[in-house]
Amino acid sequence: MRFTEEFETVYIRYSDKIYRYLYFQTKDPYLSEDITAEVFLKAWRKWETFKKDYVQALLFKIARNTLVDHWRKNNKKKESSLETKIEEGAEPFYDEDFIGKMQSDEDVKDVNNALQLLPKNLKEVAILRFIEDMSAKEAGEILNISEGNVRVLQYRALIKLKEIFSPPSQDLKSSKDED
Amino acid sequence: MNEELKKLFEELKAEGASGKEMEELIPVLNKLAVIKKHERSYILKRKFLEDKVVSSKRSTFFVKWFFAPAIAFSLLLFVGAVSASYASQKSLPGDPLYPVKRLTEDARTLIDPNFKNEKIVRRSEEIKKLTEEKEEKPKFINKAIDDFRKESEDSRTHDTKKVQESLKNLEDAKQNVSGEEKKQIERVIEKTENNQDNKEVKSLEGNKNEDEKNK
Repeated sequence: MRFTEEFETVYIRYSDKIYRYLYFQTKDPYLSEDITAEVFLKAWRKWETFKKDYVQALLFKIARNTLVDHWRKNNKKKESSLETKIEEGAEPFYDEDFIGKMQSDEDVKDVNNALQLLPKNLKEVAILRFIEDMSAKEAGEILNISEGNVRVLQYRALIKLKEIFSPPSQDLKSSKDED
Repeated sequence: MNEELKKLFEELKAEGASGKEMEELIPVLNKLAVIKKHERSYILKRKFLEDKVVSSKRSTFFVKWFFAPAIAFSLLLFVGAVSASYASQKSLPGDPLYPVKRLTEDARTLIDPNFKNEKIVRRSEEIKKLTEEKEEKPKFINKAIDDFRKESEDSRTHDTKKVQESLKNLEDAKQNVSGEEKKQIERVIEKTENNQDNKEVKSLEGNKNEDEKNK
């Protein structure tokens, strides 16, 4: 069945990207898996009408909307995944090994902590542009902003992240120590 | 420097980033890019696809190709049955739809036992209509008379109004026929009237007894 195979290829290729996007937004590995499952089931239901050459942007749009719905339903309490009601039949399989790695990896922790310090719009642009390697145009389509706006935000996001990863005060301190 | 990074630097430059600033951003970009090293288990991805997606496809396939025609067929049957029962209500003994009429009457009697009285009127109307038809149908008239007899015996609680209506129909029918059929109708009228009289006497006696008890 070509139809099913096509979707399977898309899931294998993009589900990690969607998961990561959700993980850095929610900081919750289980909630991220729940919403990833929901995103792909939603996509699967509309697969016949899905624009295949636009698939990545559409998946991210669904992920973004599903996340917004989730936060709205949970009174914007981003912390609790236990309160999440997953659509029946969409219950995912949790990869505990992967979750363990994500939670213990120092690089992931650093990036996650740094991203949480960014305003929402900068964080989203940083994830889409520099983690998921999307073009400014594609990121703009997902975020409903212009390509030019994405360029402005990505610059601000990188400057902020640079400051977070290597704070200026530390540089000063280290130069003083050297003296 | 790869093409993507080159393009990014051009974009940053257009936003006012200096060369030095861009150099300093490379470690930041590397740090962000390294996040992709972890991937969710391929086996679990396949399991999700097989359990959730392919099964849901099967179920939609089932709904699409099995349930949908079955529902459509049932609907057609239902519409057909309703139309046939509606059309049958004016049929007479000997008509193809007459058995449907009788069947719907039986079903209605199960829900509303008082409908038995209405059945007597209907049988009498059928006798009247059959006798009015130009085509002679003695076989069906006899059958209709027989049906009337059975229905009136079957109905224990006669509604006086309905019985009177039936008797009027039978009197009209009697005028349309002669010979053996006329005699048969006369006998049925007589029997129905007697039954009705007996019923009235019984009900009067019953009322009397109740009055005495109350006293």
